[in-house]
Amino acid sequence: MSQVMTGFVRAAAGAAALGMAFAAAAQPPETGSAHSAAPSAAPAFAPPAADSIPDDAFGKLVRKGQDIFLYTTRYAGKYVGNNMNCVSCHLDAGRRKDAAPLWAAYVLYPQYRKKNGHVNTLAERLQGCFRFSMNGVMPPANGETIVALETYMFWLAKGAPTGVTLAGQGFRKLPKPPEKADYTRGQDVFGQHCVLCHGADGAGQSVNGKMVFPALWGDNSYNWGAGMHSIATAAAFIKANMPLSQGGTLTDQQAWDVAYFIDAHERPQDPRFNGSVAETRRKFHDSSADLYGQEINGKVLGARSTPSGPRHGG
Amino acid sequence: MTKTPLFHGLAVRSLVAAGLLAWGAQAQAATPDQQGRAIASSGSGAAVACASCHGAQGQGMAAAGFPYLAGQGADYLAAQLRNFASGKRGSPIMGPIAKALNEEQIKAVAAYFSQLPRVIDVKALGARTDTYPPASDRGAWLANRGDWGHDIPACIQCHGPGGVGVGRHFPAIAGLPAQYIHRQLTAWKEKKRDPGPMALMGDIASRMSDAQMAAVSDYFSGLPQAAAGTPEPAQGDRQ
Repeated sequence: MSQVMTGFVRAAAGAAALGMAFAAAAQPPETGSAHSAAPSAAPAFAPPAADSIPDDAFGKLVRKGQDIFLYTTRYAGKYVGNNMNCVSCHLDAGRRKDAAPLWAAYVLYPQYRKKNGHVNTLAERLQGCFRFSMNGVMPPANGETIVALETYMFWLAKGAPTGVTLAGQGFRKLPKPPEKADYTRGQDVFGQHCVLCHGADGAGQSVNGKMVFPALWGDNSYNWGAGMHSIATAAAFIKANMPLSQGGTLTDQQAWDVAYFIDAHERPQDPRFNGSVAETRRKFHDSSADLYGQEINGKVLGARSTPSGPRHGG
Repeated sequence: MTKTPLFHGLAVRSLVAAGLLAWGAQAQAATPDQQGRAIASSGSGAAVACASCHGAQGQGMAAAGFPYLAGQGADYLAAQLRNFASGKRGSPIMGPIAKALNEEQIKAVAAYFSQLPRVIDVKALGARTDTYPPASDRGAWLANRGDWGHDIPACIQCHGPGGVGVGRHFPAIAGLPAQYIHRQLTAWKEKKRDPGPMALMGDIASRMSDAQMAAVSDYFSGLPQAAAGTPEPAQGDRQ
């Protein structure tokens, strides 16, 4: 692996560490490489059993963190601008490998990130999740929300080696598809494998005012700054995890195509938007895996976005 | 206004239907709602009245293991009747009944039951959060957290918080008789019931152990009672 490749791989691994909140700037350039880290070399790790949270003061904060993680809108609502929960993408309460598990992310921070050009603490990384993936606002780094989430992550990572990319970390990067990702083919895949839960309008489904199936685009989805808006990231997530309980059943091509289709729809604006879609694309979205600022079906994506952040009265 | 023969025929039919309804006899009603109601209460031809097993209000008959139908999605109910008729969902009781209904009747009776008042307290169930059940309550764990080591998602991830059902394709499961739920899971595992949309339930059930099936059936069966009067948990509280 060349030096450049290694650097890219590390960036990609970091990108996927917490999955969604990673912005486009550090998205991988075109390359034919297969996996982000040689899976065979990465040590395996299993988090503690879900029912083994200790029954003490520490355990109480672990539970609080898990509650926020599972029911983010309910327990950290003031920082959330859509109706998603952390667990919408980090499956099995953040325990599932290849669904950006928390235990694998925990041991990779603090970490230098190209996205903002400095070493990010875990707290700052979590703040980014709220800002981008949750289309919300950043909770204070030392406030209860972030500290509880960190505590939950710490508990999940108990016994894991530090500074090591663990097997199952992030979303497993997919090889480039045989054919260029395609909107029309993606639409077909969507109709066959996604509509049942996420709806033809991609808006997901709720019951009793609680989101059950998350919105894949539109105002209740993640914004243009979230990692999942990258076709490569979405394809990797979809391949390993979708349809729910049937991960691995779509072909790589299908995963790329449907990721393209999903990401070819409008969503809340990138919080770093500076008034010009073209300029914002140049600064943060300059990748072929990124459709922000591109014209799809006669409309420039990002040009009609709802402003990012929580909506008032909504 | 000159009545066309067709119009006349419909009018006569509706009059006849109304008369039959009044007698409580088997009826071909004019509107789908009347038709559905008539089939539910009186049956049609070889199809016995739904009410005789599923209750006058579609509330089911728990002791006998007959599920409630009230408030379930019309598309879901219609699909089940079609599957009973074709044998994709094997049932010695429902097979002959469904076969006796034509497509129009299936749609009508499915729509009728879907609009009946729910027999479960959707609000109380939806507010129920079992994030930290006792370690021994495997049914609650499976229902709320899944068993991802076997690629089994939490039931509530598709059937909604409290198992109240979601949209057109994911039926309510809370409060169904335990023996009914267990029988369905077994039927899916043994490929005696159509695997459902995208084969989701067929796949999932094939990975479930019998102990899991029994535990989760008991959990959802008893959930309405458990949820009654349970307040929404305060932030960070344990159940």
